[in-house]
Amino acid sequence: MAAPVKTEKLTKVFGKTEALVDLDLEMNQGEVLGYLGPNGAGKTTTIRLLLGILRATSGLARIFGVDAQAEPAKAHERIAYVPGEASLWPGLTGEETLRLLGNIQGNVDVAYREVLIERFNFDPSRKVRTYSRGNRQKLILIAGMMSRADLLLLDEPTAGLDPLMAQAFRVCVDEARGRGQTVFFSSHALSEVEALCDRVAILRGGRLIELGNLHEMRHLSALTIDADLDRIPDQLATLVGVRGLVASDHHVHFHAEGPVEPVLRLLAQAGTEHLLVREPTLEELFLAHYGQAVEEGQNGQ
Amino acid sequence: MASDASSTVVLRQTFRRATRTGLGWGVVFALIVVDSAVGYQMSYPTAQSRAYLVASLEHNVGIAALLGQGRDLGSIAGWIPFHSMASLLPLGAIVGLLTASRLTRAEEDAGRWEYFLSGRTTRLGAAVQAALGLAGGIAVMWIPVAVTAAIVGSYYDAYSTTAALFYAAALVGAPAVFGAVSFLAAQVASSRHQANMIGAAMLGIAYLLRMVSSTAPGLSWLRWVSPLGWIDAMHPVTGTSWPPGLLVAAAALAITSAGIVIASKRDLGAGALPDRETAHSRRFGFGGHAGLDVVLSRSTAIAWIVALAVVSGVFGWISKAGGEAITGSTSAQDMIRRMGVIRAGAAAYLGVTLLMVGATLALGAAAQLGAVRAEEAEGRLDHLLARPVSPRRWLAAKVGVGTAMLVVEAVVAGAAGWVGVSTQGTGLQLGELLQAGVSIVPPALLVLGVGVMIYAVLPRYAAAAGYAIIAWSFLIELVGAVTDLNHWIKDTSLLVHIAPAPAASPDWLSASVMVGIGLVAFAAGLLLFPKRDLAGS
Repeated sequence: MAAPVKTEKLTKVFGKTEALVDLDLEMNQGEVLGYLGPNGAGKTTTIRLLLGILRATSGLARIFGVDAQAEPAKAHERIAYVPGEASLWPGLTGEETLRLLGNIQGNVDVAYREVLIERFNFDPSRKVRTYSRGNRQKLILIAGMMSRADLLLLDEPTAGLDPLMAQAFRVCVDEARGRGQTVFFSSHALSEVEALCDRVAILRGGRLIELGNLHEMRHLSALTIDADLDRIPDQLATLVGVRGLVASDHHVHFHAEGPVEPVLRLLAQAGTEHLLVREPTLEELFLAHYGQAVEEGQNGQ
Repeated sequence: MASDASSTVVLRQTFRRATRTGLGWGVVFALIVVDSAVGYQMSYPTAQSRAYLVASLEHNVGIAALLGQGRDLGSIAGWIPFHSMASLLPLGAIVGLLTASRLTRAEEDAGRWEYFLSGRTTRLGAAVQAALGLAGGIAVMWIPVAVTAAIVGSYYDAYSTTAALFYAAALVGAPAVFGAVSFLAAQVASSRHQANMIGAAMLGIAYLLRMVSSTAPGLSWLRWVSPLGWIDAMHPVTGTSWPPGLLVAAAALAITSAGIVIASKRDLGAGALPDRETAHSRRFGFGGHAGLDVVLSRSTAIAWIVALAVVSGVFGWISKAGGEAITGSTSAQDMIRRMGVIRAGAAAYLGVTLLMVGATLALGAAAQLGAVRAEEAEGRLDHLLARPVSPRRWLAAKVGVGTAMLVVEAVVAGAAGWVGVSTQGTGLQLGELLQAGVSIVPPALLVLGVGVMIYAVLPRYAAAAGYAIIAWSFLIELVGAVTDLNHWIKDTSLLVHIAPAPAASPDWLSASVMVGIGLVAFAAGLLLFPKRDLAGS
């Protein structure tokens, strides 16, 4: 069975700007992939290339085996797309918009649409121009989700939603996963990605710099250690793998990469009273990648 | 110092853009003034030809309805305001309407006024600044017209500099007063589209009142209800009547002031008129993207159809009188013969007026291109093309609906012309008028086809390209009237290729060539469109 999303060396260049470079990515059926990166990293460009509404400079993008660049309309038969900014027809009502987009999509689970309308506490009788930004976002979320498409392409879908509605959105994604739908989820809400996604991809400057599941990524990343000690050992600062050491009084805070045993042995010798070892959050992993980029940038300067 | 700048940001923004528009149109107006003068000298060089002109055009109700009331047409001083104001009053009014709504309501719709009003600018202050900026645009528009009119008057020793300045003021009176109407409509309506519809309706009523006041002697007082009638009554150059001019200025000021008051009291982004927040969902038109096109075009199409029906009906009604005057005048016949008119009487009059409707339809086609581009630029197209809709099918449906609109509008214009003319016992048949209506569509289709091709490659320039084709055609007509242009150059004008049916047989060959060019360009557009990036929001 063809992969829901498969890209090979997918590249997009705007003038002199490399928006996306040699993206190789393959998604598995039924997985939820978090797609991360700061503004301008290439997230939306990737999604628009997958939709075929941007033309690739080079490389391939396939949706369930269909070339999304050559046959976008065919590829779209199995896609639902939710953009982060909802620009809609102001004179239509919410209901008219849902009916229009549903008819164009072709597959609408009417019962599920009603569930979504209720879940998002959405009033479809109003005209689009009277909706707040959050309500417009709800409208396009419902329009995307109601089709039960095999692949959901979500581009910062919770922008503008309040925390309750963001929670309702998580329920929808969980349901989609439960039904075997595949979800490509671009977001800045790292806690949301952490809670929902099976795998995470991180983009930087149009290049994919990290792809894996959170467990693997954490395993390969530094642990955060806080300890209260009788005395602070001099060797700790020079121990291989230790970085970011902050010592005050009898307390130390640092990150440890690689084998943890030498660190623990040294701490034990120093009379440890309290010890807290924590895997990095997604936010810390993300910031670690971008911190590196900032450092490299500063060194370059 | 930065705070001072931020408090006048609306003034500076509006002034900069309004003066740019004003200067551009001022130059166009000035060229038409020159064309009127040069054309008169060349076409009516002798006292005899001028006497014919006076006999045929002055006191002719048909001509007065179409072009306004002429005075002292036996002299260049009488001809220049008559000839130039015939086209520049409605054109100036449209420029005023569109510029004011673009620089006020469109800015608000796009959310930019939110940034301005979050600074040191109040609602009242912003409205006053926008009004001042627009007034600056009118003032700048006046300058090239006044300078040119003064030079022309002095060169031909036709009128004084004071008269020239007054004449220029009359010419910018229409953009001033209808700019004010649009400014007020922008405060009342809840979107730019709605404001434009209100403004267009006001202009239509004003134009109609002026027409009726010129044709029905018992209703001549109606001119005092229409701003266009006031401008006529200023009698620039031939009489220099100040009171109607003061009325125009006072009306512009009063309407603008009302707009400012409403702007200071309403919520940003909302209209002063109550707007229904909810509506019963309509059943028709939501089965696919083509149905959506019909839904989105419906109100605009109805407005066009009603306006064309009314105007064509009135032209039909007065066509007999207009045609008789043409028949009785050699010079008038010479003039319209150059336009390809063969038959005389009401047919001749209707042939010429339907040519104007054809040019208006071409403008409508260019406006459609702007709407297609807006659908993409504002991000709405993403929702359609991210679903199983082929870009080519979307574009083809859009153009198909647009074409159907143009054809229906043209047929309605022909049919309404027949309804008007049938009351006059002229013998003109419905079939002839319907054919005449259909024959004016091809230039609009060419504009649409070429515009689609440009849209497929350079979407930002699609509407501009459409307007440029029409402007070029008018320019060639203007220059061609006063100089011997090479026929290859003349043939680049679309207007040259429309036969003035029913005054002549429709030129189906030229029509087919124009439709053919439009189709080829449209096919190229369809081919190229999917090959470029979608702009998105």
